[in-house]
Amino acid sequence: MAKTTTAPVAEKTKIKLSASSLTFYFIAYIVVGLMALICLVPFIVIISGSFTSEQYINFHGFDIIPREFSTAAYQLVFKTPATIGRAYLVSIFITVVGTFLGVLMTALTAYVIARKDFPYRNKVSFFFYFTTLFNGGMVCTYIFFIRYLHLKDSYWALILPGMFSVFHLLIMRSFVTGIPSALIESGKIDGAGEYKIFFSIILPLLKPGLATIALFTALGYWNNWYNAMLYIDSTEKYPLQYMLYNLLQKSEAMSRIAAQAGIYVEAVPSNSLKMAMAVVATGPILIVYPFVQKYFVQGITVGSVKG
Amino acid sequence: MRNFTKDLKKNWALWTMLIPALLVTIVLAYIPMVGLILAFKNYNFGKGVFGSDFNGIDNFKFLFSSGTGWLITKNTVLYNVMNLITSQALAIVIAIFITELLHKTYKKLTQSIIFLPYFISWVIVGIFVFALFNYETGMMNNLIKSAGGEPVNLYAKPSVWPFIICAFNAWKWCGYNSVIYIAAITGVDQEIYEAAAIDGATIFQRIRHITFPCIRPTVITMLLLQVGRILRGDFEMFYQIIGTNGQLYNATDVIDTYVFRSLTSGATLGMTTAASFYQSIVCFVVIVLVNAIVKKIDEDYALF
Amino acid sequence: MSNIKKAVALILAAAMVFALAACTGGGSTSGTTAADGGSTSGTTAADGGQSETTLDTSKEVEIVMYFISDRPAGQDIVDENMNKLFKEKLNCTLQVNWIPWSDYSSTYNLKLSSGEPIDLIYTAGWLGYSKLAQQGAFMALDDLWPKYAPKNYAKATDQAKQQATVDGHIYTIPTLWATYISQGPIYRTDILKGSDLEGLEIKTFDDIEKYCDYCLEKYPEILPMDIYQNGSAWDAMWARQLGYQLIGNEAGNFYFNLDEENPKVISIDEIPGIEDFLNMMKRWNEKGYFSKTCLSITDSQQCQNGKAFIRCHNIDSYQGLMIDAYNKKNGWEWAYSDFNKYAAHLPFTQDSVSVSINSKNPERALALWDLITSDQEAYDAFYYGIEGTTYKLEEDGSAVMLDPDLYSTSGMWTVRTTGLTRKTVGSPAGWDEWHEKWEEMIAKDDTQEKYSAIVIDTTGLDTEIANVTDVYNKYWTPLELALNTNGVEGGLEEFREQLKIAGADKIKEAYQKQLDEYVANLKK
Repeated sequence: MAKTTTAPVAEKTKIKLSASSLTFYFIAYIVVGLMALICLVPFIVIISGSFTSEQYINFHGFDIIPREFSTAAYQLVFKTPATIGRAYLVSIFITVVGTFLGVLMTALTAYVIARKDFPYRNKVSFFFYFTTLFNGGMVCTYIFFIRYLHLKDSYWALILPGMFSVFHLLIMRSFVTGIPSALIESGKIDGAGEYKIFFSIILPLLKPGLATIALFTALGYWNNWYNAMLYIDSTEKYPLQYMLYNLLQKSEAMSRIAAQAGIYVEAVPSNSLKMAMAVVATGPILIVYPFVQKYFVQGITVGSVKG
Repeated sequence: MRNFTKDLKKNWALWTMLIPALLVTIVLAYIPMVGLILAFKNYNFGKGVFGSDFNGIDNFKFLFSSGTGWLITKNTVLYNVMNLITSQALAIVIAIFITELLHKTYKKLTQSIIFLPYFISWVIVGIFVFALFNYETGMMNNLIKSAGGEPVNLYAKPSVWPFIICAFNAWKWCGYNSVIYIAAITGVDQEIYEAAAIDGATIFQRIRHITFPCIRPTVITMLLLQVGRILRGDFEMFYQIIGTNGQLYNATDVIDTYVFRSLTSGATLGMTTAASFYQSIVCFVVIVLVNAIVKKIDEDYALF
Repeated sequence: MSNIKKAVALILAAAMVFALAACTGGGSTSGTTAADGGSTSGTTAADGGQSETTLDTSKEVEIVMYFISDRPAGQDIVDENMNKLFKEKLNCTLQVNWIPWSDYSSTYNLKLSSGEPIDLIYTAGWLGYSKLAQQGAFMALDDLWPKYAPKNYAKATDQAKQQATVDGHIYTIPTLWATYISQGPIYRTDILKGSDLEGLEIKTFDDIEKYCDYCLEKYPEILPMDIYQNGSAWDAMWARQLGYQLIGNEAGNFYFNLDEENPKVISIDEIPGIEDFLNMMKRWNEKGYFSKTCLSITDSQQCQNGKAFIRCHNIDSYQGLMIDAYNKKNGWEWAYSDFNKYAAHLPFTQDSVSVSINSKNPERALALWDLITSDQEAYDAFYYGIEGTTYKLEEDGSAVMLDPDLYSTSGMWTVRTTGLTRKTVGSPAGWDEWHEKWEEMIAKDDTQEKYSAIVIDTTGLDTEIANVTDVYNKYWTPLELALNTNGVEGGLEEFREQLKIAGADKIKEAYQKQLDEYVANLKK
């Protein structure tokens, strides 16, 4: 039904580039290039900083290449490789499960509230939206989770809260709105049920939207340490970000206390540690990103509209 | 009610699609909402949320008794408006440019790179800000000095900080927000573009008459969503960039940072709940107003 | 983050002091009659042997303890080892739960509010002990403490008990570890060798200036003073050397003059000579003793990192720097001097342990605490772990931790007990002398010590204290470091104006009333 064009329009119409188009491309290439540069340099500094000795950073600051090479920060992070490995697995597990359930739920809900023939769509939207304005606050949520849902030390305490976001729902809705309602009508005429219409007509057309929300949901799970802090007690259930966060805070507190308590602890490379943590936590996402990206870079055509 | 049961019968399949989300929302968001009652209570650990005594609006007083309430409300709104405009505008421009780029590799590469700042936590941004702007060894002053100028102490000039914060915010969220717009643009039927190209439309005409209208629903949704957060500041951003530097508080204090500081100097649970209640009420009023206006103009774009 | 810093600073203030006899100096306890009559009702020190018989240990129970620290790798073996002992002695086991340093500020209160049956939990003045007690988070221990932890109770001073009293009841067991008010300059001396200043003992602010001038001349690339985002401690030290003392657990930064017979509560700008102090700080700023952007520096260890030479802090930090230099063998030498006009103990509630209101076994929990704080074997098992595995003993009885990665001393600081805690290797030579000197001074002159039992009730002042604290951050801290743009005069005027708006007068009045009552009680 939907055919995929592999290249943007302009590429096919190269011959016709006018002077105004040339100006446009010139500006576009320069602006995007500059922006990429501003985004890339700090990241290079982070990677370089993570490999620089703390002493050097303390006195000379950061640089694009490590002037005094050191792997102390990584040694600290990977001191117990088994723990880190375990934390990666926990993070991957909750990210995959949470994202799958979350995206499905978001798409279903968005589809319903985008349906113009669904009379309660505004009321239902408001029902969801209202929760972004009001919430019970940390204490009540905490007590409710622990006492009534018995989620203490459970993976569900990490999965449930990030699964459904109104922000994602409304973005998804705007994607669904972009799909011509004629498609749904024709599905109905063909005698397809609501679920069939959703899964075989809507979902394939929603790919860019699904990819976007999947990316955002996954990132939300991947970066969240806060829920682990509240609900997880056993160290073997720590997700990666919380483990790293804990490591950093602990090192900072320890290095200050250690000397006073008469315990000798190697000075903690706090600056380079922060940089190394960023690298360790970001790495896997950067590997996965290109796979998701293809859904944004390639366009899809709603060919079936025009038959 | 009769209408409702009728609709339930007619659209039962659609309603079943809503069940998971409704359930999650009720359990995770609506039930804990009873906690808001704490805003009017003097919390007692022994007595719990429901057993504690009411104390009227005492908890709200700390926000407004010294005039700070208005200052931080004003700051929060101004920062949000500024951040909203700059970050969305930058994201839209970048998204349009990226989708129009001709070289696929360049396109993919730049898009990935622009996403990188999202991964850089505010803690690290805070370290960078200090490394750039500190008086004695900051990169900015080193540049000025090597050019023969007088070093500048930005930390004694609170008025420039809104711009610094705004710039970093736009930079950090550019990749993230542009993903939404890129997805919206790629969702546009390519044949429309092809038809336009054949008709001899210039690139500018194409963007104006095809791309803009197509991403309009997304832009409006994003704006509305942000407007609903008009009284909530990005705590991490402010906290990591400004830290506990009192010199800059008047220019950079938002409700969330103020409440956080109050907590460390002895505010109670009731007081923080009161602050968040205040934020919610104002956001609620603002969003209802804005939504009503949007609805008047074009009902399709309204949030609810 | 700054929360953690604050906490750490306060812990350090209470950390590692060498063994001294418990404070039994006649002068120190003479003036500590309770401001509130009901506080010590029914709390006569009981004989240990007798009351222990009242504890029923027939049923095995698990005591749940929470404290703020990170779980060490070797905790399992330490737990196993100590629980064997506890099982044998009290038929109970101890389950230690950690609130990690990373997030205690958000989770500490949550743990208490969640209704979990916590038996023993770390608390402290800086964690808001009195406020939590007022909000009903802890069990009243007036009768339980003497009955089930009699040895501990007997060792605690009246002063400590009074500090633990909130609204007439004791809700916490203070530490049995004496600490002192000891803010003063700590400075590198090895850099002075061979110069005119060799052997310099810093006794006055002029000496500090001389020292810093020398540093700047010899090491122009280093800013001599260690000042970071928490602001400087010089103002408090300046006030103390004039005989002014902070009141009300530092809430709002109010002072009173120790030399006055009926002291008046004032804010820092009302101390005579404040302009001179501020002008001095302005001169220091202009000379470049510290960074002009110091309030955004997050490095709290500039001295330790070699980025500064002098800081104002307590004797424990001095010890820390000495131990650090000893361990690093970098040849650095540090000196410390005490600028305080009078000597006094720090409140014993700086570290303490409470029983949560939801505890199921308060009796056994207290008995266990009694055991740990009175029996060397139990103490060692709890605090140091297993001999030969986590620590070893030197000939003189001092302890050396064998592998900090496996286990360093317990994070439950409250347990430290004078007489049970062992010496640390690497401490400065003059350490014991300082403490002896302070005990002597306290015994001789109770000008400051007599005030140390005052506990200020801040009920109803939450709003004002939050506001005033904010005004301090916004206006005082920059003014003190001459970072403000409107000069000393203008800055002072602005600060005073803002204090008024924030409601400082209301706090002053409330503090004054309580101080007057306390003074009246002293005179009785």
